[in-house]
Amino acid sequence: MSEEEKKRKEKESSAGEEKGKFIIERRYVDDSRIIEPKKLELGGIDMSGRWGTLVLPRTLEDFDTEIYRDVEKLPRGGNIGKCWQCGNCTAVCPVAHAHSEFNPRYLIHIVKMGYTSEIKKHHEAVYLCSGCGLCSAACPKGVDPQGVMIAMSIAFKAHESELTE
Amino acid sequence: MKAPDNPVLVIGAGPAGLQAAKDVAEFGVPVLLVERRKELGGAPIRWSYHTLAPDFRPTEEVMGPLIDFCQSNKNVTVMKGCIVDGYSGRPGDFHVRIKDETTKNITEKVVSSIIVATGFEHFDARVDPRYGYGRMPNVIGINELEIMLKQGRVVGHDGKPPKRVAFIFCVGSRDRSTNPWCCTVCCGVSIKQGIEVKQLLPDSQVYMIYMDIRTIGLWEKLYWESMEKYGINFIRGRVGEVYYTGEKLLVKGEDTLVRGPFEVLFDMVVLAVGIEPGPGTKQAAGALSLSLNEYGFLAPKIPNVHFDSGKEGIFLAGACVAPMSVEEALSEGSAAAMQAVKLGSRLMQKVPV
Amino acid sequence: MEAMFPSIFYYMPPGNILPHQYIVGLVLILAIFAVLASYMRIRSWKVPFTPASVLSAVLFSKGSGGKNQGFGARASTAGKSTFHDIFLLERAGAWCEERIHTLGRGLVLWGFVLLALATVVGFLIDPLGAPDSAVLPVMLLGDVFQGMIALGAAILLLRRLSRHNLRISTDRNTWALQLVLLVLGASGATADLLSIGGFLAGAQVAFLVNIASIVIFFLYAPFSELTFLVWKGSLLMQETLQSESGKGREIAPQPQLGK
Ligand SMILES: Cc1cc2nc3c(=O)[nH]c(=O)nc-3n(C[C@H](O)[C@H](O)[C@H](O)COP(=O)(O)OP(=O)(O)OC[C@H]3O[C@@H](n4cnc5c(N)ncnc54)[C@H](O)[C@@H]3O)c2cc1C
Ligand code: SF4
Ligand code: SF4
Repeated sequence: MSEEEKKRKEKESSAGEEKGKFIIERRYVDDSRIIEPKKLELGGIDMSGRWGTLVLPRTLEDFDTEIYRDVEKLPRGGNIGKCWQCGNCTAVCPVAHAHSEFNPRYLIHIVKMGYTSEIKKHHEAVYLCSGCGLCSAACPKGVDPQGVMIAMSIAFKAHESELTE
Repeated sequence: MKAPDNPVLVIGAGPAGLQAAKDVAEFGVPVLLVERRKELGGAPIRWSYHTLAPDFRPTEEVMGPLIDFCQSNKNVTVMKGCIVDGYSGRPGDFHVRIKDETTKNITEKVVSSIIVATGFEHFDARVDPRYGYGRMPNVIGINELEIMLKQGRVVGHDGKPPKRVAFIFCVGSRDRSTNPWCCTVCCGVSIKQGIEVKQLLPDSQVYMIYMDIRTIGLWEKLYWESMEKYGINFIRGRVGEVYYTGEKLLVKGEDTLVRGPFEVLFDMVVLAVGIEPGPGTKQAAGALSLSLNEYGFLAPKIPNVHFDSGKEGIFLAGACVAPMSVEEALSEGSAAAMQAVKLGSRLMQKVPV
Repeated sequence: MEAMFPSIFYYMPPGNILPHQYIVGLVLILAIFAVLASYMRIRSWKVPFTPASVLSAVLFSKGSGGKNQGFGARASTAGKSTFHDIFLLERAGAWCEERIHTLGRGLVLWGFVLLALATVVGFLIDPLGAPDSAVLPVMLLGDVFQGMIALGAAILLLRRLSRHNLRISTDRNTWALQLVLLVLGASGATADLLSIGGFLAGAQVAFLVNIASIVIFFLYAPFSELTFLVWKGSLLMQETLQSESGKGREIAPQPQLGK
């Protein structure tokens, strides 16, 4: 989309309360990636409102594997590295079937990869694990996901200040 | 009797064993072919494979000539229903005891070398109870579907053709609690069967639930065709459980690409059961004092050189060494035959070892 | 009575191997050790010791969910959460597809709670010189509660054993803990019964095994998964107290399979 087109579209739509409401295909953009400064002045010109809205690029600057390394060291977290993302744990997890925000496989994935932005979004869900252990009985790689959920919930708590900032 | 006049003993009459027997016999060397079962042909005949992946060639086209040759050639002596019970002696002059499994009669034979081609067994899906094999109707293995395809009639237990069919990959493969290796052919075989199901029942929907697709080499074209020509769908995930609702099969899994568990109803669930070393291979290993690797397959001296058992005069071939396809088993049979013939001529010429 | 049940008291079969006051003292010391060890272990994970946070939340916090609850309200929230989540195993139980698993867990939990109560009651009435007719029921109840622990542990162990294809990930600690519980419950329940039945030697052996398993349990528990359960349970309760949404409390009904 050219710069002009964008501006035209922006003019047409009215900025509401919702963040970046005027963005076309808004649902593809995460809230956290839209920056809307309340007051923005550039060279004495008021750029507040939608003119000043920024959509952060989806570039990932770094994989931050600190939590991953912590999980590996915590009790029963040592096998997390064996996971190959087959999804068998989520498939049998009774909690995952009822709570879409809880997905043991995905939690393992984002922690292993160090997708901090995703961890920020999903870390609260780890406490939904009921500890039933069905996943550990199903996991073909011997990851012991139930144990990994234990280690993760501890690690997330230990890193809470970074994850909720 | 001079060493090379002694026959070459081939144990197992599957693709590998038959090919070995044929090649040795065509060299003019007598062959003693010992097969445990009552028919020749190994897995492809025992399980009535309809066609062979990846080119849908009828199994008979490959196996027929081999079986016919071994049954009619004067150089080949076939002993069905027999196993090798023990051996002694040296290369060129092995004394083997061959036991008829029904009459328990033991025959002593002198052979110059031994080719072990005892093949594989299907993974017994009852071992992993989550898939309901053996407990629920319409949960079948790829071996059973292959038989149905051969009969040209794919139906559920009620005699009706299934509308929705799910293939579950890696059953009893790549799993620490069952077998940790990859069976190498079941991806390709399942996709081949999926295509055949679509050809037979064009209105059916076929889903492949996979972790990784391993259609190696030229088998990849099956994978492409299945999607491009037959509209077969692929779901990346692994199935946790299968339930029987009294009418349909509820498959619980995770679609790891859309992220989230799914529960889908199917009329038929086909398990891509893996390949594992069978009791026959274990028996032969015991009788010939061959070593097994950590997985129970016969262990070659150097893992990359399959035919070399590490014992002079005993050669290995086929799926008893590692999971493999028919095409590989055939080449391995040929390779082992070459070793046996080579050894024979060397012994005759008294070439220093 | 005297003749039929010579000087038996709760935890003390004839022979007076160890007077029960000593045992109560030992258990107290062990319990203090267990709490301290759990504290150290949890702190080594670099997370707060949540049981203390819960206490302070009940006693002092004003809640962060916008509501300014009083002490009574907070205590009742905590009580309700304890009752539902812990005693009724609602959180864990809701997701246990195998009812037998929940039953096993429940038996162990309730066995322990009731046993503790019975022990306290027994301890309180004994020095008052209560007649055997009052002490005996307490003792027998204690045996029943130990039996519950043993049964629960046996269920948990059998459930694991009966799995055809035990995955290698099955945690060794869990096996060990369940085994200790089984021995603890079974020896405790049989010690008294044996002595009532007149098998004094057997009773003494069972008694010693019981004491040993109690010691092992308290020494081991802080280094087992139990610490995590306590930590997480307290964490959830703390959050329940501090937020209106009360994450720990909202459990969607179990989805019905096959529909
Ligand atoms: C469902 C399924 C479908 C397949 N489809 C294809 C396909 O389409 N294309 C393809 O290329 N590959 C396919 N394969 C793989 C193929 O079946 C094997 O590669 C091939 O059969 C291996 O041949 P083999 O001779 O080594 O072993 P086998 O075929 O197993 O033959 C071994 C023989 O030895 C005998 N025996 C065993 N033990 C003893 C003993 N102790 N004494 C005497 N005799 C003994 C057995 O009875 C058997 O006859 C498929 C595999 C499966 C599981
Ligand atoms: S089942 Fe095991 S290997 Fe598969 S995604 Fe879950 S933890 Fe990873
Ligand atoms: S232990 Fe937790 S993650 Fe595993 S199946 Fe149970 S609820 Fe799900």
